[in-house]
Amino acid sequence: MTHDPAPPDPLLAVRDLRKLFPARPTARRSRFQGAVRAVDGISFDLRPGGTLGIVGESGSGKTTTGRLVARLEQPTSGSIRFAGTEIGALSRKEMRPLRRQIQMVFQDPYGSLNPRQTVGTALATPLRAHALVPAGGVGRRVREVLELVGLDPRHVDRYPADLSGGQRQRVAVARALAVEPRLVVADEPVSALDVSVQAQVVNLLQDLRRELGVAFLLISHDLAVVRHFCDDVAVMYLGRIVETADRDSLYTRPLHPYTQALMSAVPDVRRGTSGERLHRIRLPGEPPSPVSPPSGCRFRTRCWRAQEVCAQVDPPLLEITPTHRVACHFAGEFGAVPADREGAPGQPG
Amino acid sequence: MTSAADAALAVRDLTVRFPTDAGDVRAVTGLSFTVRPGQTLGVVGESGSGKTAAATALLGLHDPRRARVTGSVLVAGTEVVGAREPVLRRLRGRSVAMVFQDPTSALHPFYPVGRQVAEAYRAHHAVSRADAAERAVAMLDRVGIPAARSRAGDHPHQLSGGMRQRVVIAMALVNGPAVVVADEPTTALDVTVQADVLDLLREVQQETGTALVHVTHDLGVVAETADRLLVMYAGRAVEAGPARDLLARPRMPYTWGLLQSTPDLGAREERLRPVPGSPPSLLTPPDGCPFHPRCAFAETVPGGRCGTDLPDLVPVSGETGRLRRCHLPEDVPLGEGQVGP
Repeated sequence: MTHDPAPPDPLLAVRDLRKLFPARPTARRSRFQGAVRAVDGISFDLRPGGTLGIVGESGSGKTTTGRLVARLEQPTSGSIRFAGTEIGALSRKEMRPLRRQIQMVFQDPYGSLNPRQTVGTALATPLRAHALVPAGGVGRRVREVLELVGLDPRHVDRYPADLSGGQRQRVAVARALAVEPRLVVADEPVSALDVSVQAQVVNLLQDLRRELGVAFLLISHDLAVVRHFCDDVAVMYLGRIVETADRDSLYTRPLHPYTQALMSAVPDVRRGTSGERLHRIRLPGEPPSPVSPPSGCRFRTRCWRAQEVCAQVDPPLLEITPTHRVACHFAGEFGAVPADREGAPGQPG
Repeated sequence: MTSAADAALAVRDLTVRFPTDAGDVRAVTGLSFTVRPGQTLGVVGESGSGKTAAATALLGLHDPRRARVTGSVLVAGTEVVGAREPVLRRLRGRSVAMVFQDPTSALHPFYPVGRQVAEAYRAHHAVSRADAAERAVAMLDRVGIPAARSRAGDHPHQLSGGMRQRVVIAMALVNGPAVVVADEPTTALDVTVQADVLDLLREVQQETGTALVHVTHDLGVVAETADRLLVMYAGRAVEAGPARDLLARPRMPYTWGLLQSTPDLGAREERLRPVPGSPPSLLTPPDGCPFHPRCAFAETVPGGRCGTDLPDLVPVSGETGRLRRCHLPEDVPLGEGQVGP
């Protein structure tokens, strides 16, 4: 962290985090013989009020990462420090006082809102559970947060079915923010919405972040949405962070071959109309199984730059600039120096 | 536009309504377009625009007990609307085939994928099982399934999502249909896989001369693949034209708004410009132009016509192949499209 200009106390500091799911839960012997290595040694920081986007395709481990941070899952190993407290190993009971400070927004507001509860009840329940406002003030606070997310306070008596998709997602955002969290983990919060409405919710999240100083961990497959919302971005592939950088560096100078391939594949209106089709990088084959990831670099089986060393040595995240790290043996070509141990993901055991 | 005679697909005044206790849901109203062989038409719209109801009608797949379909859909010269089931059965697969969004539900989970492609072929060709199986392997190979002969014995769950969608495309193409209707064919796929499947669709289309109707919510997807675009809103076509031209210079405020609100990788601006409000109910669509409650320009049209009179879909003067449905005078600039020159 010596080069890092970030404040010394990140809100969230994740180190060497792992989550293994038993591939065959009934297997009697070693639980992790044949485990799905969903998240396999990742490290990152998030400063108070910051926004980090975690980008990846299916099976990359991005959703599991979000669920670990929100402690909806128990890490297999590694450390999650939130506001100076180690939360990775806390029990449910020990976690309770911290729940208020880490809230989650899911992709599907149909699934995350109870269809038989009015909007008012959905918002009042967490306020009561955390005893945040005196009983008499709950109604007023509910109307406040509805206004905060751009909904008419008269919506308190409506049911989720009476609302449009965009309005429902605003309710989900309101419910997360009602308890004044310090961190919101948002997993694909706009992916289910129509484009015209999606933009409304992205802007709303931006405004709320500025007004309230809440930090966001945004999990998404959508590189364009992440680009519009996040200061920093981490790209995941098969349980690992392969590249992490500030937004501008990542989008103007992606260095990891996987990031480059991912960006070249995004369909783009601008590219389509100008006719200048960016050279698209085709990845051969399919992502390997997370049960038995390739030796060395996990991307090597699909990488056009792969050499012998890639099969033998797992590349650590190397620092290219103080804000840009890449896990690729050939990142050295860009003048990398090895990152300090703390920031680098560990070798598989 | 092309005359109906040399078109692979000619749609005239297509209307789809779903009667409910609360009244008719007007899913599609007065939709007309033609697609030539080898051409790709991108049909773009958000949820509730009627794009899927229209696509479904192209194969005559609406249940007549639930939907009232009127107008005309000519597939390679055969009328689909009102056709009897035996006629439709001969048509489907052979003249017009469909690729759905979710390949998992489009395939039967119990049968090997090769057999499913072979069955699709045997439905229209009097060939032996062995010959059909050969044909299926060749088709699976053509759509880029590696080791097609051995993968033909796999069941759908043994394949990745992208491979499954390739199987569905193989099934759609095995009879060499004149028209393929693809409804969000890559929406459920990862972005790197999506790009491969789009490339595949384009390649096989060029090879076979099939007409492709590509229905999607994603402007980026059709920007790179479609020859022409048709933008739908509240069940109606609101703008149409050559794809690049239309996206570079939208002439209808909804298309313009959609482009403004689409995030992309290149724009410098940090803030998106959303379209306010949400799409209207198809049960009680607004009077006049269906977009007027959300339109930033409606106020500027004299006489408040946008709220009372439905504009016609008419050619944009001086521009080839461009149509739009809007009261706004043509010389009023919408502001730069996101990708404007």
